[in-house]
Amino acid sequence: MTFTLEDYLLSLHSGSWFGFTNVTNDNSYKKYANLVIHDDTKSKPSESDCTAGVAAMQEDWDGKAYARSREAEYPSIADQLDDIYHNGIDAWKATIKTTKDKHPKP
Amino acid sequence: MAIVINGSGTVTGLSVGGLPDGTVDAGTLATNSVDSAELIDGAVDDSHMAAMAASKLTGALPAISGASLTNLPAQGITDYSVWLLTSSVGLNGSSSFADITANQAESGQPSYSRIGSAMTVSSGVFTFPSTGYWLVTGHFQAGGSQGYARAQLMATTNNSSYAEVMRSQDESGSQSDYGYLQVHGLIDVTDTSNVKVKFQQGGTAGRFDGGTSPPATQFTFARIGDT
Repeated sequence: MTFTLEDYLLSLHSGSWFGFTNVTNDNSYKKYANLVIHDDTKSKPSESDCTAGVAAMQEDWDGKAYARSREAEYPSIADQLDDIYHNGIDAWKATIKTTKDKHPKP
Repeated sequence: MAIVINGSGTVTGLSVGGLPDGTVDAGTLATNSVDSAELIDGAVDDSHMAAMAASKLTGALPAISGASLTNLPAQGITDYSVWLLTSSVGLNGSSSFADITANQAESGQPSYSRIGSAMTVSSGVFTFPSTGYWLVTGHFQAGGSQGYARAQLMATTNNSSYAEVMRSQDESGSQSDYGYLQVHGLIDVTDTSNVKVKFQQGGTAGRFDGGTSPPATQFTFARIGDT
């Protein structure tokens, strides 16, 4: 996933508080130069803040790739409970550890 | 046969066609004395027809070509316009609703061509260009984070207080998945100054996607008949 200026702005406030002018048919208009603020109670973030904000979102997302991979591979909660019931905690922990080892935390 | 003028006031002995052409005028005929049996087929042409009462057009009527009819009121869709959400709107994070107040522009997609007159929009409130029955729809694409999304179509008949027309909710939105919501309503626009519509958003699923490539969230307005 690649984060954009719009993603960062959406993380700041809800509603239709911002928009972009010079609308085209290819979304290229969604850039800082075209940014307008519709809500007088909200301030326009600086371009450097936006650039840093997008970078931080991207870094956070990329840094949690291991967690998303683990989540996709863990057995369902129902299967894990069944594993605990039939095989005990240690066996369940061994199953979970297999996935954790496969996708180590950086 | 000899022609005999009788003392009883009658004439006998006349042959069919025995009177000279043009000698019997309207005054000679008694009132209401000629019925259809005395007319040959096709004898009454257009120039001899007076205005026909509507009451005479009853029962099984002959097929009349639509091309022959005039002065018919306008039928079908006379106005249709498509509007896009050009920037994403952040959902308000709760189950309550908030107006979508900006970033709505008429479509500029190459395949799009408006029929009739366009809507006008100000701070998210859409005004109709003419009275009539209008079919209004809103299609929303939700996404951005785990949660649910809500959309609502609202209408006013006094340009002040709004009532719900339709509400929709989707709970499939997540960071990588999308949810789709649809609202629509038939609006009887009797007064373009007072009957207006707007759209609202709510929920926790992050946002309604806005943009032109692809156009993910859009609003359509179709005038489908006279009010």
